[in-house]
Amino acid sequence: MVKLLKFPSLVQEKIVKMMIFMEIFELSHTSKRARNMLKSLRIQAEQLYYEFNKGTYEIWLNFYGETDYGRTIVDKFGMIVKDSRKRKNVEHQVKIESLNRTLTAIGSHEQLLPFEFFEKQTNHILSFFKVKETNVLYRHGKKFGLQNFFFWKNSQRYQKVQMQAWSDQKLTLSKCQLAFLLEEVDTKEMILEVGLEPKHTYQYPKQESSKIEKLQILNSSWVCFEELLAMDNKEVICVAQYSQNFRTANVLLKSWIQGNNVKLEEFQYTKFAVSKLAQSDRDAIFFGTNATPTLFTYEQLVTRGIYDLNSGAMDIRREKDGMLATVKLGLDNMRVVIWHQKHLKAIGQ
Amino acid sequence: MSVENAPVVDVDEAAIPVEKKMYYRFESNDKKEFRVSELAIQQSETLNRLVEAMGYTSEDVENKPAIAIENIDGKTLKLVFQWCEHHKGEAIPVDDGSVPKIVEIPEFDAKLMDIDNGLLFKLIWAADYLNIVQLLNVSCKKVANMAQGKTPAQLRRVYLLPSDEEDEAAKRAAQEAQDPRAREVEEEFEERKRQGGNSFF
Repeated sequence: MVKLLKFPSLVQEKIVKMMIFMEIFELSHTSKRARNMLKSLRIQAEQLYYEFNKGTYEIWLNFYGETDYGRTIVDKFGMIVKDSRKRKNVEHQVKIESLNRTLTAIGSHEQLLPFEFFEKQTNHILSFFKVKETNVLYRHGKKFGLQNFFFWKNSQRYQKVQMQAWSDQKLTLSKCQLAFLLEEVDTKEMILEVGLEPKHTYQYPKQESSKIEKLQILNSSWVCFEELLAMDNKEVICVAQYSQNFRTANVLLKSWIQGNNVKLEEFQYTKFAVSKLAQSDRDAIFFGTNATPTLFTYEQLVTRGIYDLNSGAMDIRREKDGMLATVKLGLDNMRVVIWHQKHLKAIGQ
Repeated sequence: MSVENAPVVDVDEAAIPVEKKMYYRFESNDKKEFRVSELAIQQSETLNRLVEAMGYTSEDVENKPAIAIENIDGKTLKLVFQWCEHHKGEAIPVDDGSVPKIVEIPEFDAKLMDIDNGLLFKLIWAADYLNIVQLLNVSCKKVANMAQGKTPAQLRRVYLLPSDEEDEAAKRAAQEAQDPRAREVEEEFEERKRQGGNSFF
């Protein structure tokens, strides 16, 4: 027996940092003073992942590498805490109250629904871990107050937010939820595989710079292509739907020429069968854009990740500010790179 | 090298080393004296700086009084110097910030730390005070290992963590000890409340 609380705080920190997630978790439930000690240490975790599935909620804390993690999973049967370190695949059931489908938090008699329980436990855990990067993976098909979820309050900026249902399910959002994700959430990367509720249309914000650097839209059924690039993300990847075709690609190019976006560096329109298009349809992609065969050399294009020039590449210029873009058609995609000063400098122009 | 064979000994128990290295003399707070090699001292940032600042010659270390370490007792200091002698010349680890921190406890260190928890507590304090990074690492690791597979109730026993109720009781007792009149006033107040009085005064 050793009096842990009697050590200097630097020693306490050293001891706690040698424990695995599960041990720290258990220590946090011993007493208020132990909890306060842990809060004062604020142990660093590299990444936090929230994962929401139907009826199952998880948080992962990654530490020194992807294989070192602490994981808590909450469902209607209780909470399981897992740890990757030392004792491989160790699991540990914290509390089960499956009969009435409510859960009791440790040290409390309060009966909570799984999601409430998850919120409470997550806030508890995050009170003594400092997290560098936060990621959200949302696979829940059920419609409810996405905007009001507690985890949006726990971080100012996200690394990645991913709204992607399992393949056999569909994630449908209201226009308010979609607007919240596209306009309010501050994230480096957003991946959306969502549909919009019937009879809803998404109104793009005017003259507003997006908080999302890289936007990937895997279900573009709700996308208004004339306005997509007006969001001014740094990078946009959009997957084509069956009903969309080479004309949509043309709309995208024209919208860039007519647009005011200044941050956009690259966009891709993918999964449409360019290789199966007739020459006239391929030409129609560039209709009204004044495209000319590219003046950039192979070596210069390689700096922007364009390697295959068998089918050629075209340059288009935006008259209002003189910005130049190179368009490359692949087998099933159209890739557009925009040349900013930094890119031209990098190739000596 | 086993703990028993480590070259740190009480002055009155063993011969003075014959090597031509400089051996410093230290004295614990209970007047136990130790001779420690220059190389072993390098494991302690605090002592290393101290002897550098003193700039002793070979004659000085023999003729001048032993350097007093006033807040560490002889039993603890003996373990500290045994550890330093065994690990002399080894590189001092740099903290890479990893969590959980990976530290292996070598066999020698495990045997050295096969001691009661009270002495282990003092050893950690001494390693921290003398800034002996690796000794602090292994001793903290031993304490961290005590948490393996324990429930909150077991952890409370292992780390002598008072429960919230015990903390409250201790706080009340401390308050009472400090001011017995305060308790009387509180009781009087409670009694008046029970009787339905609106004001204490």
